[in-house]
Amino acid sequence: MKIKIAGHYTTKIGELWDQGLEDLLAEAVHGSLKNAQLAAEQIEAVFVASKAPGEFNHQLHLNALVSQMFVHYPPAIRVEGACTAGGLALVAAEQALAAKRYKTVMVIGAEKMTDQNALKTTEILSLAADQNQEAGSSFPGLYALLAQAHMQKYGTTREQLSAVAVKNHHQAMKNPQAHFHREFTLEQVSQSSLVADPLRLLDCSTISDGASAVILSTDSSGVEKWRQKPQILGYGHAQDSLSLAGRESLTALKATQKAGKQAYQQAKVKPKEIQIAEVHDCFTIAEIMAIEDLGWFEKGEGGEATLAGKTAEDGQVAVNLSGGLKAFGHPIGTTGIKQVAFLAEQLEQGNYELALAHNVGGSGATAVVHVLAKN
Amino acid sequence: MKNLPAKYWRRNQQWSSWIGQEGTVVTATYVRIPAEEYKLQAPYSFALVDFGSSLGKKELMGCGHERLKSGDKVKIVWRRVPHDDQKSVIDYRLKLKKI
Amino acid sequence: MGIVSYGAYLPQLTIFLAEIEKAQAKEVGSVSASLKVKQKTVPDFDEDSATIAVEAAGQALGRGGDKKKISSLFIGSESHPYAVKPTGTMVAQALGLSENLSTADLQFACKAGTQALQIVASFVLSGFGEQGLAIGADTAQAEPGDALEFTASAGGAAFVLGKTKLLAKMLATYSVAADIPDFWRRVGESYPQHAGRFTAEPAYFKQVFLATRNLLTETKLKPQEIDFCIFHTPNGKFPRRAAKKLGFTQEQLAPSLIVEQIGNTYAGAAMLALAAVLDQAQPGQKILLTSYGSGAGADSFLFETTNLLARKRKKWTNFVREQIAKLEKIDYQQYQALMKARHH
Repeated sequence: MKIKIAGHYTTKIGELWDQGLEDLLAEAVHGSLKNAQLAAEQIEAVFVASKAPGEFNHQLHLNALVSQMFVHYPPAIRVEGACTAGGLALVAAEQALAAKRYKTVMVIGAEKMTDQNALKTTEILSLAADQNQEAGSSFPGLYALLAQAHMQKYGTTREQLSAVAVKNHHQAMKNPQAHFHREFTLEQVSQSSLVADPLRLLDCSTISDGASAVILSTDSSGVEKWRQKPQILGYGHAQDSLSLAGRESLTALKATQKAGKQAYQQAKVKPKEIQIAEVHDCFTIAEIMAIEDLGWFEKGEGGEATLAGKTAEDGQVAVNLSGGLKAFGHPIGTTGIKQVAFLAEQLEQGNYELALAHNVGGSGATAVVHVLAKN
Repeated sequence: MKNLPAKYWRRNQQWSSWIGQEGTVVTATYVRIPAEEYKLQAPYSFALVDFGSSLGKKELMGCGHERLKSGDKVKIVWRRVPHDDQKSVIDYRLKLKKI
Repeated sequence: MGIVSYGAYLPQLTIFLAEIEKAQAKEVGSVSASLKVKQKTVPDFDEDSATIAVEAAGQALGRGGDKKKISSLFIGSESHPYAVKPTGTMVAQALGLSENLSTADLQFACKAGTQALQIVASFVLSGFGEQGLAIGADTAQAEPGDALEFTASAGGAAFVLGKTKLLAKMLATYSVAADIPDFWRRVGESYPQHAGRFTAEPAYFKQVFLATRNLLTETKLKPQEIDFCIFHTPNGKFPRRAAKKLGFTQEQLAPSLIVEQIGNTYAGAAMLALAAVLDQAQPGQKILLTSYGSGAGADSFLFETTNLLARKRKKWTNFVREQIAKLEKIDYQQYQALMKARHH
């Protein structure tokens, strides 16, 4: 039973003053239905992902909000998992499809972050950390600790961190939906102001609004052009300690390693067969760790590989061609889904055969990996 | 975020068993752009400290504006976290001081 | 009954009076020479009287005393963190004391710490518990540009009192109090007011002399028979004059004059001076201490050290002199920033 991506849609990502949370959701619902050439009533259930609609928008009961956008009020459920809400919503949908409860479902993520002031937003984001164990932390602070550890153990350099940001901003120039269409030099990134040593402003993904939806289906007869639709070959879902204090390693995200192995195993694919990937670069160090943890480079060599261009469009594996979280944007709950939507589009255009999406929650407590095939 | 009384009270049960404990900094950062809750104390250190096999590891803020780095010997002290709000219960926390 | 253990804590930052003189456009060295104070301690933005009390008491409990036997805790301060909610309970919680505890906060300007000492002494003496903890701690505030800015500083000391294993016996105590309005702070005001020259003869000297003379009479002792004297230190000038007038020598007074390097720690002052003297006293030596609190009163005490003090001291670290030696200098700009951050 193949799970295919029947349709996909991502809104423009950015500071979208004209659109509230509901507007973003509506745009993604209609956009993905149009892309799939499906009628609304064909969606049997909806899986909604959002990190903090309560804190950002004072809107909970999001499943109901989305369900009412369909004439037939399909059953809907909201999945929470901090930055990996999107990935987890996909997992929940895949499990429902595997159980044969539904044949065609929509997985939709949205985040409206810009109505709050920046410091308040930083605080809301830090809710993904362990509130009891990590008081005083902030997201940049936690990833800064990981960066310090990686730099100390493997000699990863400031320049190598900057190379991630430079590459992703460059690649976003070709993505019309991206939040940022602005390139930076290595010096500009390396000299941007310090946020939490050693991470600087341009090492960090920023605050963005946006929504994305994919329609997953096992209904070979119900979906137009079924054969050409991209397929989800496998997925993995793993966890690790919420607080850094409980981690075995500070230089690898074990959750990513485990989820990656599960996805590769189910897909019957080896890491080196992946040609294009969207990985979770919430901070530049996160991409360096991800390309090591997902098996493309040896532990400790991710920085060097990035600086040497091995993850550029023409490299060994094209990482974050969309611009990643850094330049495409990171409307938190949307991210896991927009990664898959972007890859689906790339696969449909025929440029690649095998793709991988990697979504992480918090400082690495949750990880979801999807392996996709052209058809 | 206001310091909620019940939460403060559950937290203060932990104070006496941690104050005075000594450990070594595993890794530390200096938070310059903080979350709203900590904006009055920025910049401040945030570190992962190893307190040995029986107590394990803990993540804590540094005192004042003291900069901590990997390998520093530290001890836990009792300090304030300043807030804008003059009405809530005063936010006393465990912090790290270089020995 | 007497002192079972003691501890002291000074915040790590210090500002030299020369910096404040420059900021107040005074001739550099003039105020410092007149007050006989060179520098004062400055609390970090995340320290207050409660955190200082915990540090001092932590040192005391680390050196001696028994948490489970302490059934009274009194803390004197002019800068209690709350107007309503006792510093004592927070300090007890942080120290892990037994919940069987008599406590309430004290204020009587700079003599609140020694008043705590006297109250705890009476608890122990009367059998209301085996041991008690008395703390004097302050983060004194002064209005920028005011004379008090030169000396208002921060610090604290804690004493565990009990009946056995004494480092020093409390032989006698005597207090005086009268309504003398030399220094006060109204509710809602950030800074205190003072009555200028009125604070000297009719206030400080009157009460200090009264209490001390009464104590000497009661104990039938002459100044020559006492080894150390300690008088409250609003500056370095007043205690020197008090000692001279009462018949003590400058040698008897000298070990207590830490005010020169730490400023006036208000409710902590006399207690810290006592700690500094105990840090070096030999067995069998007598110490006379008279504190002073504006508003106004004075507490006088007579202590006598035992053999145990010198013996136990050998294992201790971080004496008052050592903490003074570790003070880190800051400039006026940094000082202002820290003072500004205090009202949170």
